[in-house]
Amino acid sequence: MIVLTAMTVMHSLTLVMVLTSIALAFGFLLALTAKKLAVPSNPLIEEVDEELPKGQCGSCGFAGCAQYAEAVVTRPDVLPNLCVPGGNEVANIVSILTGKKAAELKPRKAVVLCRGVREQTTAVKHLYEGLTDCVAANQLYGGDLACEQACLGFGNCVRACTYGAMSSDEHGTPIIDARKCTGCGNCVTACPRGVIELIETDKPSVVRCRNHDGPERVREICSVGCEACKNCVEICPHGAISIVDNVAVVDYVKCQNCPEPSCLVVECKPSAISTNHEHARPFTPAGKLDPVERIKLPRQHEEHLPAETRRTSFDEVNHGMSEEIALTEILRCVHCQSPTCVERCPIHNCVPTYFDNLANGDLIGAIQLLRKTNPMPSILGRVCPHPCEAKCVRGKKTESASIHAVERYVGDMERRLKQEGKIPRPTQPQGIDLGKVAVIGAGPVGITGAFDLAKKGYKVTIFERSPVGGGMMHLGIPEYRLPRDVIDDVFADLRSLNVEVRHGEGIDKDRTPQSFLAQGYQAVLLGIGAYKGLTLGIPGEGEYEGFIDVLEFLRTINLGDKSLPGKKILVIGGGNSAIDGARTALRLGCSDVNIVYRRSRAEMPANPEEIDDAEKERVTMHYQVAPVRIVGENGRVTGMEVIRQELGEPDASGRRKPVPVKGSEYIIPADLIVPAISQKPDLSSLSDGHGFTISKWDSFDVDKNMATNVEGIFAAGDAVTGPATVVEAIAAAHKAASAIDQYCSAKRQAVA
Amino acid sequence: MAEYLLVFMSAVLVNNFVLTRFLGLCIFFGVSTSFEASLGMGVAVTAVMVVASLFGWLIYFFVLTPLDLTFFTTICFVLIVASTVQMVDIVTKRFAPKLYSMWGIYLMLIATNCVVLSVPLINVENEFNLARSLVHAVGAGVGFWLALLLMASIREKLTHSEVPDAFKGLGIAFVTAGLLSLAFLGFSGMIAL
Repeated sequence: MIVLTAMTVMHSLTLVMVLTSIALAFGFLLALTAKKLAVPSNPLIEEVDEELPKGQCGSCGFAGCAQYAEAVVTRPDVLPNLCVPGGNEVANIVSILTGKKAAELKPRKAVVLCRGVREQTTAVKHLYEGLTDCVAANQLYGGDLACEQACLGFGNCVRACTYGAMSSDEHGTPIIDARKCTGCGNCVTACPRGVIELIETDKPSVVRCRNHDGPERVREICSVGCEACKNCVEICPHGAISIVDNVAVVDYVKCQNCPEPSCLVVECKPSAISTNHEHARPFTPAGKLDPVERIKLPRQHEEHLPAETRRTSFDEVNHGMSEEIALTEILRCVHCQSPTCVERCPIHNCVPTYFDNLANGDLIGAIQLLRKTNPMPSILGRVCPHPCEAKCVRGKKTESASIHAVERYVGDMERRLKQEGKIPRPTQPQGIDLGKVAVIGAGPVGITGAFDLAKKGYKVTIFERSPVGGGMMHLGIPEYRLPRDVIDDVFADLRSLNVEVRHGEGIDKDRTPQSFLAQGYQAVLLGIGAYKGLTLGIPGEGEYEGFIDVLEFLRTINLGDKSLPGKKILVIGGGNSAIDGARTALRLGCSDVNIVYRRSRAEMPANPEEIDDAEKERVTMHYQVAPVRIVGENGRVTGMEVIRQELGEPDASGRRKPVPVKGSEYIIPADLIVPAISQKPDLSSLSDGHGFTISKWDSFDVDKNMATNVEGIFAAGDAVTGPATVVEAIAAAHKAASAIDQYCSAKRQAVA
Repeated sequence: MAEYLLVFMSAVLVNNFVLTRFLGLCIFFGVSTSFEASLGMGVAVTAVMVVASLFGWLIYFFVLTPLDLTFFTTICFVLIVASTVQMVDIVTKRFAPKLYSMWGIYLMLIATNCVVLSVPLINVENEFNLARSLVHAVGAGVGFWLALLLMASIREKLTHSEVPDAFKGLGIAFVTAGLLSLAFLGFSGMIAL
């Protein structure tokens, strides 16, 4: 037995030794040959190789970047401009290095010529066939899409892109990030249907539909297809568009790349024609900063008034960024592969692209791009809780990019340029009259809806109950956060767009939303907000005087009544309106301002900057306390009894539930108690039997197109969601406006 | 002499590594899209096979057999093939730059290929002598080359012909390979070793 083991050990040892010696022998032999027979490599090849973009895309026709570098140096017939992604920049360097001359390349980008079959589609049928590949789907059933020429949406092109420039939207249709697209053409080769095309970047207009089955068929199967209506053909001053085979085609030779393309202004119902303007701008990464330097740049800050001066005045606290600081801040953006900020932003502001525009000195381009999604950058830059920044990749290790401050900078520059007359205010398209639309409420929803619809050619009238415009932005947000001239500027834009704002009118018991339809308005957009404060439900509430809801409190002040409401103020709640209430009270001259919040500071829903500012201005914060009862004397409030809370056992949802600490009650003295806990839409103005479906939270029930159950009436914003942010209201209003446009054009077609 | 010719013909036609033994299919389908690439690939595979067979034979009969470690052949040969590829790469780059520019990039693709590994393994399993091993290796390489060229020529023609949608691409390639394989089956029994 022992002998056997010894033999096995011996055998294993031999095995290991043999393997080692063979490996060593070969290693030695290899090292020797490599050393002795090393071909002195041409340093020029390495130099050229270093200049190539290393996408290994094969667009040059060689197996890889290294092979191209070698070929261009050693073979006389290989031209220096073959690297497509490198473009002229690389071609120039290679020409200089190799001494070869070549014609200049025209930069090209890939453009998707189809938006996928939308809505009326059978697009998902092949999903349960187990297919995951466009080529296979195309071969098997022609893809089983209603439109035989449409994008199949399995993302072969996305997988083919070696530069990470492509992604798919929720329908699978590719989206090309023009900043990363190098024009190598791999996606074009990968697409079995020829949906992607390479287009020279100075030829911007493209028709994003390829179906030539004729208008009836297109209308039947796709909501975004070209219906060959010839509107764009007629309007193009250069005669660059024609209808070929039932689909509009742009002649790139004739297209003049107009700065304000008339083909875009034309009424193209499916918006099948679009420009390539973002594609047209060649991307140079912000200031070609060294990556290490970029990461080292600290977050830049906005200028604030000192706490002591500001706590007694209504002047704007935050003075924003100067040009120099804003242009430093944009360099901090690292241009991540899939920008999470854009994804998170409810209105999808194209943050990295307008940062680039700024970095390249193209302020106008940045303004135009931002205005596409955001009708009021100056306002959002000030009041938006910027959920984008929480998602910023830079925030994971250090601090996120200060997106809101740059947005504000762009907005403020735009306002200044407009006021100086250097850029025009938006105007309505000439000669297009699509009829009247009524908008109820001049808040974010009303403003955005009016903007979108007026730009399409509708005559919009806004009905606003209060004497001022801006809705909650004016009545709820205090002046020191949002100066009134910023809001006024938005209304100047609206006036330029021929939008009429009628103050003192709105919906009431006699004038129902339905009555507007009878007056000849084609559709009604309800943006009436959520103005009714919720009650606390504790003893003593409503028994004494000196108890006022935060919105009521702010509205009185924001409408101009700045009299002292009391010496000692107590605000209940942890949202932005609670902080606004408290800081406004300070500015009115109240000596003692308290905020009571039932959870800890970290859990406060208000913007952290606001909490910080409030603390600096000496608002007394009471965290983790809950109201018990209101204390009063002779019919007036004298204070509120509160109880301390501590975090107890985790509840079913896993969050630790606050539990009152017995015997820790104390009284906070106050002349005025301002609950700021939440709001809901005030529907008291609707008559009984108004015909709307109302949710259990007293808000309007709408479908995915923001349409209420009453035909022709749409609702958006706080009136639908309950109290939320300005940016969410804008996002909903964009959606509602495009739904209204679709609804109205369907009606027009039915009449015609 | 006749015996060597038989070994050669057997490796090329009767026991064609691709079409009858079904080895090296990944390169076979990957590279056979273009005739020119197939030409380069075939030369590279043949060269590596011959050198790997030489080293494999030497190590098997002079190291592994005396030490009773023949169970260890496969792992040992993987090492040999990889090193050989590397060495062929260096040597051709130095002495035959023209040749290198033709098949240099394919060398790395065959560093871990089954068809290159199988030839030295078959040699030692059948206990061929050195000369016979080398002839067998050359034959295997030529056979592989032949199959690749046949396939590439057919596929180049196929791109211009009307293939039913469902068969386009790899589908028709597999069908063609199957037919080729059936045709090569006709050689079996022609030469008996």
